[in-house]
Amino acid sequence: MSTRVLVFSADELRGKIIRKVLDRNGLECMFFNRILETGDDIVQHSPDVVIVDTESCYPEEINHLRNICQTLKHEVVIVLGRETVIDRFKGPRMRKVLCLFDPLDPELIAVKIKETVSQKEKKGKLTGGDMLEKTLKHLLHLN
Amino acid sequence: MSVDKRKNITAILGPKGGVGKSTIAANLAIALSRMGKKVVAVDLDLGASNLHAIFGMRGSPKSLSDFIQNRVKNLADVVSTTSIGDLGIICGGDDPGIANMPHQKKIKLIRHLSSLNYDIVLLDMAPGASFNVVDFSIIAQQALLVTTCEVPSLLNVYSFIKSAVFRRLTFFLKHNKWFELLELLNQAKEPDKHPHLKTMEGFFSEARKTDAAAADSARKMLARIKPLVVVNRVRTDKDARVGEVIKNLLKEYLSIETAVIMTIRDDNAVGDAIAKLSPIMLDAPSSPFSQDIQEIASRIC
Repeated sequence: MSTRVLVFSADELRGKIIRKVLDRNGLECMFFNRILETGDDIVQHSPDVVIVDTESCYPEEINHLRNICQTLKHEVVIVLGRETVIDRFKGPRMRKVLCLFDPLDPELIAVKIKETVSQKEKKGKLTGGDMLEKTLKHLLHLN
Repeated sequence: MSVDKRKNITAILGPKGGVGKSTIAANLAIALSRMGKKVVAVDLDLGASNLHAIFGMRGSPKSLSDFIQNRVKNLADVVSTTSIGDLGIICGGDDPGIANMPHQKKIKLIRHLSSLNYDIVLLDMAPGASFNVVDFSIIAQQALLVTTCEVPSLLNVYSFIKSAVFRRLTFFLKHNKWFELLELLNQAKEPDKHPHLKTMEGFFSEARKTDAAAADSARKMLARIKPLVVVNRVRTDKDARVGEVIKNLLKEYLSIETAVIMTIRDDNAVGDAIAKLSPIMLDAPSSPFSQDIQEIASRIC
């Protein structure tokens, strides 16, 4: 199954460039520029990766994206933009997100997505194996 | 049960019954024969033999029973020829009580198995971890441990290796008259009373305090046990990974390094071939099962 990526960017040109490069890298990518509808789009499309581009966003849109990022638990989240803006996506209540500062580098985004998804899958596999190992240890009285 | 390509005995072990051991043994024998090897498959599932049926044979004029009951002098005389290359088969016996043969007869059988003049002697073992099964597996230079992905089968694989490790160490320590270490090994059989001996590393560490040279020698002997794990009826990637789990347990608790982990895909063609009493390597040579068997044959050859 291919990795499904949603890109949210108020800057249509940047959004389309990102989508084009990710498509070329074999990632199933959708682009949205209605920032305030981000939550609905995520629910509807259940992505593996959410890319949030803060460039050209109004302050209320950035606040909205920040709130959305706090609610995402299972998706890989990548935040793009200027360092000063991205800093607002860090903090004790904010889950760990991957930050990529401007200038925009879509190829780097593709590489990071592949790396992160691969690590996540590997972790998932290990968890299944760990559970089996735990069961066997219990049944064999090895604990 | 070590891997030593100079020798020729390979045991196919499936500590839990019904994991596909005999089907794998029969088809592996065919694959090896087709690679130009002179092969004999021996049905050691005494009392419940069925290897001949998987080959499509109704029976044989001579079987292992005849050798064990002294009706035939040499084991080589009960080898039945097949129409498949240079492949012979020794059909298992089903005389009542044959599974519990006396010790002397077992030693005689082991001696004759070791002197069979074949490139590869493939032993299709009985399930379980009885002394007979463990002892026959000990004479093999290669052991293929067949398991499915289910927990009961994995438990039996672990228990079988544990039995083999303890039996082999017992023989080794007795043979060298290292009785203090033997006493320590007996304590290790009760890990609840002796938690520091729960792992083989714990045993060796304690043994070194008594006799470092003996402990190192025993550890060296144990290091030669390198079973190959074959995970059968694999349906998903997750299934394929159970080999890694059992490998980790064997390493952590028994200090056993698993040589290779191989997988055989679940394949409906196997059932079809068995129903037709025809080996799948002949009935469906391009099936996933046949391909995987061929790969295993290449690995162990």
